[in-house]
Amino acid sequence: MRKVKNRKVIGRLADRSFKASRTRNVIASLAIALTAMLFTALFTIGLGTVENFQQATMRQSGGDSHGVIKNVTMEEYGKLAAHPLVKESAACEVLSDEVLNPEFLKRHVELWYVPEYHYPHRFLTIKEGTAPERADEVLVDDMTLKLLGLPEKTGQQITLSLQLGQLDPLVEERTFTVTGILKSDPALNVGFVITSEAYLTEHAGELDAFRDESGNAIGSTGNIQMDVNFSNSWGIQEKLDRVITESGYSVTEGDEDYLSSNANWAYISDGAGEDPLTIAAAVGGLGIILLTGYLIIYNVFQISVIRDIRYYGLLKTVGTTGSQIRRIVRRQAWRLAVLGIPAGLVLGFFIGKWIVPLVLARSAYAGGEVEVSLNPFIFLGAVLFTLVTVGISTRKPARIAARVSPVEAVRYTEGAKGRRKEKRTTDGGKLWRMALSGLGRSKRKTVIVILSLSLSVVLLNSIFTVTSSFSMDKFLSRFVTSDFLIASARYFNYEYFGMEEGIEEENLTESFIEACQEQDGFERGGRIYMTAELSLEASTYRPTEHMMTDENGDLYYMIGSSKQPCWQDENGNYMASVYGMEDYPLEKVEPVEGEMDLDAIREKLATGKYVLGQVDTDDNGNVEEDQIRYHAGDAITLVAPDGQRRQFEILSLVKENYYGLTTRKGEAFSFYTAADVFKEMASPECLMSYLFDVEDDREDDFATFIDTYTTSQEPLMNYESRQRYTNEFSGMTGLITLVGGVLTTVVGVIGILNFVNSILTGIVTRKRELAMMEAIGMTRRQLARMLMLEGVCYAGFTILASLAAGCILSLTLVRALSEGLWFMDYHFVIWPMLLVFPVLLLLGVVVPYLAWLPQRKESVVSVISREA
Amino acid sequence: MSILKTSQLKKYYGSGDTLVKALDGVDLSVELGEFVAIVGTSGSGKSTLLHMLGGLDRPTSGKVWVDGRDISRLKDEELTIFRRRKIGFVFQSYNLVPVLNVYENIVLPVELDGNRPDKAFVEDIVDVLGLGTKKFSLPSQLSGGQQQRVAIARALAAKPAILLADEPTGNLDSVTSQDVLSLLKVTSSRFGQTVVMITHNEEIAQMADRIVRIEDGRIRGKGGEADA
Repeated sequence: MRKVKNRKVIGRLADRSFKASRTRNVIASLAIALTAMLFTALFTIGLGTVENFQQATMRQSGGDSHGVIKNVTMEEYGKLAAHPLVKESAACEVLSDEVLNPEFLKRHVELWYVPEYHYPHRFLTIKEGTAPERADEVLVDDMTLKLLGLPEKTGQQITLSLQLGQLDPLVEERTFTVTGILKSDPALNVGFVITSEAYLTEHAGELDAFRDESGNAIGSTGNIQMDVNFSNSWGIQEKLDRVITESGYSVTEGDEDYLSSNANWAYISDGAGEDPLTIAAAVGGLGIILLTGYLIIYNVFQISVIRDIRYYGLLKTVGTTGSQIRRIVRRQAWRLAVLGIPAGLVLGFFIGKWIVPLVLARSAYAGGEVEVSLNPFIFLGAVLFTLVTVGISTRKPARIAARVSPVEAVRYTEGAKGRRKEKRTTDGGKLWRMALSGLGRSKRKTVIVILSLSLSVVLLNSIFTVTSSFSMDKFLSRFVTSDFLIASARYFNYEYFGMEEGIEEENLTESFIEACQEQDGFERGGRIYMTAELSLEASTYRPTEHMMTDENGDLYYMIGSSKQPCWQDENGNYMASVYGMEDYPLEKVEPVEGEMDLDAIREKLATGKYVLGQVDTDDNGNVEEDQIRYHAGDAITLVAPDGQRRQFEILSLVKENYYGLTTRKGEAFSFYTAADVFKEMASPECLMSYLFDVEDDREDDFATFIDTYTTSQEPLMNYESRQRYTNEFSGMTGLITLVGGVLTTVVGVIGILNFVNSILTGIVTRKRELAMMEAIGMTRRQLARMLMLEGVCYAGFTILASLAAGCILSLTLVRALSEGLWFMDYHFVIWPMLLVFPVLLLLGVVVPYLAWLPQRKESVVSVISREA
Repeated sequence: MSILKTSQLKKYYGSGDTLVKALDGVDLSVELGEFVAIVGTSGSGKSTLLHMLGGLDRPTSGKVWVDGRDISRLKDEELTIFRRRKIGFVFQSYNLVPVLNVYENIVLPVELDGNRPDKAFVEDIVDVLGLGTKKFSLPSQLSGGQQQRVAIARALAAKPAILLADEPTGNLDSVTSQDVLSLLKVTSSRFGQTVVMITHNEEIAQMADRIVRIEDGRIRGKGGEADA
């Protein structure tokens, strides 16, 4: 076969027919733009989230170095740093085990030496001043200064109380001059004080004192960490291992010259990659967008090809080959893609950029700065996927155009393929029957339009089903027992241990309670005491069938597949948590066995002869039967450290209220008694928390009050409020509604575009037929009514299809999803659909009417004679 | 009595240099039951005349009376309704509705008017036109001649005052043309139907009761009046 130079003529043909179909071009390029926009938004959100997770992980891990070799000596450092794989390295040194200033209780501060060249890798940004030079000069972050109650000024002095060493600690008060202020990272709840190299020389003896004979630090003080950067981030751990072994050290734990190392987890886990749910959501999102795009782009091209079929037939007659015609159609598609994609990319990126912070705000990394970079992969991916969609969508229409025979083309009318032999009806002339037949002309087109419209309706309904299945009550009932819960900051860090020694650092102060009680709007509340000093006497404890004994005769129980031992004190008695509750918290317990009446419980507990035993619950608040370790009616004996014994009967079993009534640490044996009984056995200092309610309309004011109080008056205290969890909850549902809403809107717009296109082309292609109907006596009003009826039929079928699909999907997939999450309560929801249906019907009437308006101005004669 | 009458009918298109006088003062009258052929070359104005007669288009000046009514005065909507009651059209390109079967196509104008079709009458037409076995076929399954016969049946179904045929055989071969035309003639006399047919084919025109020749928008000779 000879190769003919026909590219130019094919291009010209394609471009000319391109110009001839303006409406199609507008709709198709809009559709392509929207598809590209959805893809871009999806990729922006995806990559933006991953990127910010990574950034946040890096910040939490303290830097962007690829890896770290831990606890090296300077000699080892020298050897390791010389390894050819190591591109950059730094020896950073921890200079104290802890900074003890009480102001830093809620936010720890670390004292470090970091070489100045390494600051960027540790995210140390000096916003004012200079790096320290002398031994008593430091950089301090702004938040730390604020906690110390100092202004952000260089040149001032700060005094740190340093704990050196761990086992045999030495406390040293040391004063420094601030030479520069660092920008603190809100994502990181740690402050930094950075010294100069001179500090290392000045205090060399002190640092050495906390190292063993081989020169390695025992605790944190004097611990040198080697930050390592390689040329790229592939296979970091392997490279670290190579560096260590090839420098003559070992990577086997226990060896004499063992060096521990690890890769920066920011480079290993991107925070989303491994989660199957996230992957499923991403794939699902891609799928829906592809389908949406396909449905409209395919339909637009299918319709346009069929409309122009005579033209393609003509081209065939004059000698255009099938593949050339296919090229003509394809070329038009690519041209539309070139027009549509850029707009979609820009729009999609901004939508994504707008949504990413909202997604991240819901994650554990809240509070950090969110940046969405112009990652080329976003656009590459979006362009690629859009092109794939366009490609898939135009394949079939191009093939139809290519296959048409010149003879057939002349006779080709929509749906007139002689599939049906006869139509044995006599009332087809009725308007609505004609409308219905109009839809039946091209079943495929109709089905696609209906699918396209239904998709958004079903999507909308599913999203609303999910969000309305989020049960605020269920969510709150897990976290919230009262309007406010106040306690020491340590309690919220899971650091309330309830040992009398050191209790003053972790207990709640009476002054804070008083301040709250005096505040306007306070209603009522009650204290919860907790001590870990009392133990459960082993000899009198009767284990249930869920308690097992191992080979040493020690009791254990199973949590899932892990063996949980029951910790024993030196006398062999089991460690227990004993709580004393005032009336208010006592009213919040949920008995599941034994005495069920709360009044009776209160009265009986006050006698000092009874306790309540706690049983574990699962995510849904149901008792975990296999975790029951005692029963109501059992007699138990609590033993004090001084050997005093006191016997109790377990009055009832109550459900574990993890966030409201416990230390939040999960213990094997937890017992509740009345506050007064508690105080007979343990110190009233063991005050764990205070729960209280406020007047409903005062919650905001109260939160503001406590917020100020805990920052200015008693910074060691902290609080949780119902409101905080309510906000968290509405934030979460809001996000899903937002993302879902954007998706539904775009899919909906695409569906409507599809509908408009098919109605419009339906009218344009039947212009002559419509004119002829008018000639034989169909009034324009009847014509309009028939077209509107067609639209209504579309709407009607869409309603049927989306009702069916929406209900099925809701009852299966959405339900399964809803029942999988503990705070969801599946409800069958149908109102979003019902709300949309009138809109669909309205569209069904309005769109054909508007599409027909310009046509009706043309006179019948001109149409008939022009097109004859 | 004239069922159809025009007086000084004029239709101009454009203006100034591009003014085209498609019809330039046509006086025509057709008697009840007459079969008239209007003959002319292309561009002579015969199609324009037919459109005026059928109320598809409005004259620039002059009047058209159909069944005693001046249709040039009717509003668009009234005109359409008048048309479906009083005028039957047969076009060169059949113009059947592709999604309706033969029977439905035939009764369409009647149904559009909100009436029940006169079944016996429709059956009669169908039989006369030889469409008995094709009643439930779709237009796409019919030959050109058959389609045109359906179009004629459709035009007759509403028992119109006049049947206007615009080159009814223009798309047909000569044998089929003869067939269709004989049928048109037969039905016209059988149902006493007035027929005005446009053609450029002299041979076809010879089958009419009267031939009106039109040239440059005017009637040539004395063909405008019915023979006494």
